[in-house]
Order: sequence, then structure tokens, then C-alpha cells
Amino acid sequence: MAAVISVKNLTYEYNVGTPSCSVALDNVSLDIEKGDFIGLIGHTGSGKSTLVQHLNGLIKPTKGTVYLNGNDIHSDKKATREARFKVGLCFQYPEYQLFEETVAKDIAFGPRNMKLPENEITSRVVKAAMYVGLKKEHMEKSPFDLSGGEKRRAAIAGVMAMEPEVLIFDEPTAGLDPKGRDVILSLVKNYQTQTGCTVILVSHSMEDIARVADKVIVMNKGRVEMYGDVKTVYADCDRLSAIGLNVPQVTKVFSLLKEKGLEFSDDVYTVEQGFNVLSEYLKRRDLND
Amino acid sequence: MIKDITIGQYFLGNSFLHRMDARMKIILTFALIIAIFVCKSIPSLLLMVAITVFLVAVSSVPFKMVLKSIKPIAIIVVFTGILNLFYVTGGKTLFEWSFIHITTKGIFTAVFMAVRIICLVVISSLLTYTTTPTMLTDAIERLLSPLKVFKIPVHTLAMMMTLALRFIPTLIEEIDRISNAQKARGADLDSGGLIEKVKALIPIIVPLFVSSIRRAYELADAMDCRCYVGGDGRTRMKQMKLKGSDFVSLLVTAVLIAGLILLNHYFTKVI
Ligand SMILES: Nc1ncnc2c1ncn2[C@@H]1O[C@H](COP(=O)(O)OP(=O)(O)O)[C@@H](O)[C@H]1O
Ligand SMILES: [Mg+2]
Repeated sequence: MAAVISVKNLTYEYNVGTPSCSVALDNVSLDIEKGDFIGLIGHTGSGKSTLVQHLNGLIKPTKGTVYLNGNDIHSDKKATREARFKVGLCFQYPEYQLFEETVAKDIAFGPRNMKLPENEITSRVVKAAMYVGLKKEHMEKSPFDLSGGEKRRAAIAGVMAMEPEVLIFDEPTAGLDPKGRDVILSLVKNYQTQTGCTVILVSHSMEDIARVADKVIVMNKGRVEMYGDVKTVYADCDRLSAIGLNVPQVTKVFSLLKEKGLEFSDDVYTVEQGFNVLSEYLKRRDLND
Repeated sequence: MIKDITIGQYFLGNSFLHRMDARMKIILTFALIIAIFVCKSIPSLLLMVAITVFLVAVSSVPFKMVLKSIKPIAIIVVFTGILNLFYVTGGKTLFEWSFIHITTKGIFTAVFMAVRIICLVVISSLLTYTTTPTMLTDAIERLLSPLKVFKIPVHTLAMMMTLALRFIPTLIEEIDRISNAQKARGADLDSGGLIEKVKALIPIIVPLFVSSIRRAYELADAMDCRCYVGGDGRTRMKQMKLKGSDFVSLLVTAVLIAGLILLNHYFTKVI
């Protein structure tokens, strides 16, 4: 399949020419394939946010190129602006970007900047609100009157309403309680299955990523350490823990059980999966008895 | 653009300027700034420039940063220079055309004002470059503490200043973050006329205010939780003590300023 985003030899340094100069990305090359759901994982400071801000042209590379559908996004102003609209980026704590009088107006901010016709804007706002589960009565409220979780969903809708080809979420579950986290993850997953667009989800929780993503990019100190299917990457426990990432606890429990001689598969990443595997195992055992 | 702001920036170092007592540094800075405007003869101005260059040299602040502090006032320097050049009359007239008179005094005034402004900015930025903001406000609080007699809340004012300085980098970071988030939603901050540009700031300013107010409340709560009640009965972890070298600096500065006044007195004043 064709790569929708292709990054070639990307290097980025913050504060070039000052004493606090630091290399945030170090010769990164990767291809993002159309329709994939990719998890981007890495330690705090490994360069995840810096990388995703390159993909929609917010940051200009120190060295290297970013291609969107084969075109260099920094070749001219028009290409950069196109990248802004085709690659949607939802920042960490996106609720701090809300500013309009009503939620509906705020969600419409992106589409309006795209200079879409008014009826198209309205229909996109309605659709985006549906994807994030905001009800009609929310839409005419001030965004500052919403609850924390609702604010975050409104902000996410603001990016979804632009209907980008690639949608990037930078730690969308940061600072939420487990229930809020589940809600956000499942709405992102639903959005991806319904629209079929490419999604990149940045997180430092391996469990969150295992729950929704098909492929994983592991970053470490500004480099891409691993890139592959969830199963392949997660199987390399030693390498992951060497860079300070721990596979989910359930996965560990199951690999220990396997060492004890029980027949379990390796790809148990969430508590739910673990529960299913265990209950199946118990059922089988009862039948055998 | 916004990262060019150098006010309140501190440069780690161990020069004698860094080690000088902050109170003494403030007083001497003020003394020098007043001295700048005493200079009316060429030798006295040269001595002032020499003092400024010496201070920059011993401060261990990168020369690039000193230039950066002058950059924002370059326009003011040029503007006042041109005004002085054209409008100050006196001395020999060199050129005359309708309302424009270029005179020797005009030229001298233009040059003197430019040099004075640059010296002023360099010396006062050296103060902030070599003193941490906390030291600075601490020193200001102590220098102003006699005003407590007149019921002026010196401690509160100093605390407000500390907090304001503390939050400058935070605000800059916040502006960066919010404007990036809005740009990701297609906000166009650079093109369009003046009115469009001002309108384009709304999506940045509103979230900035909201988060600043939230931050202020959080900070107030955090201070309450740590039993902050203002200046009464508050002791200090860091005591300030004048050292021998501080008095030497005072003496040297006094001698230099006396020298300036003498140079001014015995040579012709050109402005
Ligand atoms: N605005 C900035 N200025 C200077 N350095 C930065 C800035 N943002 C990030 N960095 C540095 O770049 C590196 C990567 O940061 P980031 O991309 O935010 O990592 P992550 O999102 O994985 O936590 C870190 O070392 C960080 O200190
Ligand atoms: Mg980050």
C-alpha cells in the first residue's frame, strides 16, 4: 500500500545556536501507510511530540524532508497549508485551545479556516459532535461551562471536523481518570473504523496502545527504536524494558504462567483479553475433567 | 519573535558582577545611569563608554546576548538620532533647507543621545543578566524596606514582582503552545491586513487569559496551603551581607563618577 506520510532523514534541534541547544530528533526515517492505526510510544522527552508536529508542517526540520502523498510539505507555502488541513493534529491537553462563545462555533473554527461553504461547515460540526458523543444541548453552551472530559471531547471534535486524511492525537488521555481514558480511546477507535482514515496515537502507556493500535512505533532518545505490528514489537520484552518501557502487567502475568507450563498465548495485553483467555481456559479444563 | 525578549533573563556565571551584592549592584547601576546623563563633553562620554565596555568584558555574559538587548531599542535610537539631527539648533550651521537645519550641535546631540541610550540599556541589562530575578526582587525589597514606615506594602509589591518575573517564561511557552494548537486548526496568523491580524489573535488571547486566571488561583491556593501570610514576621533563608569587595566596587564607582564630573567640568560641553 502507498505511504501517505513519508519521513526521510529527519533531524531537529531546538534552540539552534544557543547554549540550550538540544537534538530532539536524530535522523528519523519512516513511512506511515494509508489506513493504519499507529501507536507512537516512548519515554517522556523521547521526541514524540516533536515528531508529530513535523508531520503537519508546524515545525520545519533542521535537516531532512517530510512527504505527504509524495510531495514535500515545505516545498512552498501552499503545500504547507495543505498539510495543515490534510494532517490534523490534536495537541496534548487540547481543551486549553477552546476559545469561542459556543461549542458549535469552536468546532467550526477549523472548517471555517478551510473556507468551506456554510452548509458544509454545519454538517461537519454535527458529524464531529456525534463522533465524540457531544449532545445537542452541549452545542450552544460556552465551552468553558463543560466538564473536563466534555471539554476535551469538544476540542477533539474541533480537529475531527476538518476531516483530515491523517489524524494525530498527542497523548489524548493525559490527565484523565480510567473511565475518561476508556471513553476517549474507544471514540478514537470508532472514528478510525468508521472513516477508515489513518490515525496516529501518541501515548506512553503500552496498554492503551495495545488496546487500539495495529502497529507501533517505539521512540527512544530522538530515534525510532522499533516499528512493526503490535505483536512483534511487544514480544521483544527485553529491548522494551532496556529503554524503560514496560509491557502491560497482564502480559507479564501471562508469560509467567506460560513459563509454569500453562498453554497461553503471548499476545495478552489488556485485562479484558486476559479475562477472556482465562475463562476460556477454565471452560476447557472443566470439559476435560 | 517572542523569544527575543531578554528582560529578566539571567546568565549563569561566576564573574565579579555575579558575585556582587545585589543591593550594591542596584545602587551602582542607578548611579551609573544618572552619570550617563551628566556626560556633556567628549572625554567624559568616552570614559562612560569605556566603563560600559569594561563591565561587559568582565561580566562573562556572551557578547551576542548584549547585542540582543540592544536590538529592540535600535529603532528608538535611530529615531531620536534623526529628530535631534534635524531639529536641534545651535553651534555652526552646516546645512539648511526649509525646516531642516543641520548644525554642529545637532550632530553632537544625535551622537550623544544614541551613545547614552545604548550605554543605559547595556548597563541595565547587565544588572538583570548577572542577577537572578529572586535576588533582584529580594534586594529591591530590602532597599525599599524603609518605606514601610509610610505603610507602603513593600513585601507584597516585591512578591508581586517576583511572581510576574517568574511567569514570563511560562507565558511565553503557553503562547507558543496555544498558537501552535490554533495553527494546527488552520489559523492564519501571518497574512491579512491589520484588522485581520488583530482578529487572528483572539483564538490565542482568550485561552491565554483563561489559563492565566486559572494559574493565578492555583498559585494563590498553593501559597495559602503553605501558610503564606505576607511579610510580617517572615525570616529569610538567604541573608544578604555586604562584603569587602562590594565596598571596593562602591569606591571605584565613586572615583569614576567623580572623574566623569571633572572631565565634564574641564572640557568644553558640546551639547
Ligand atoms: N520548546 C522546546 N524548546 C526546547 N527544547 C524542547 C522543546 N520542546 C521539547 N524539547 C526537547 O526536545 C526533546 C523531545 O521532546 P518532546 O518531543 O516533547 O518529547 P515527548 O513528546 O516524547 O515527551 C526533549 O529533550 C525536550 O526537552
Ligand atoms: Mg509530548
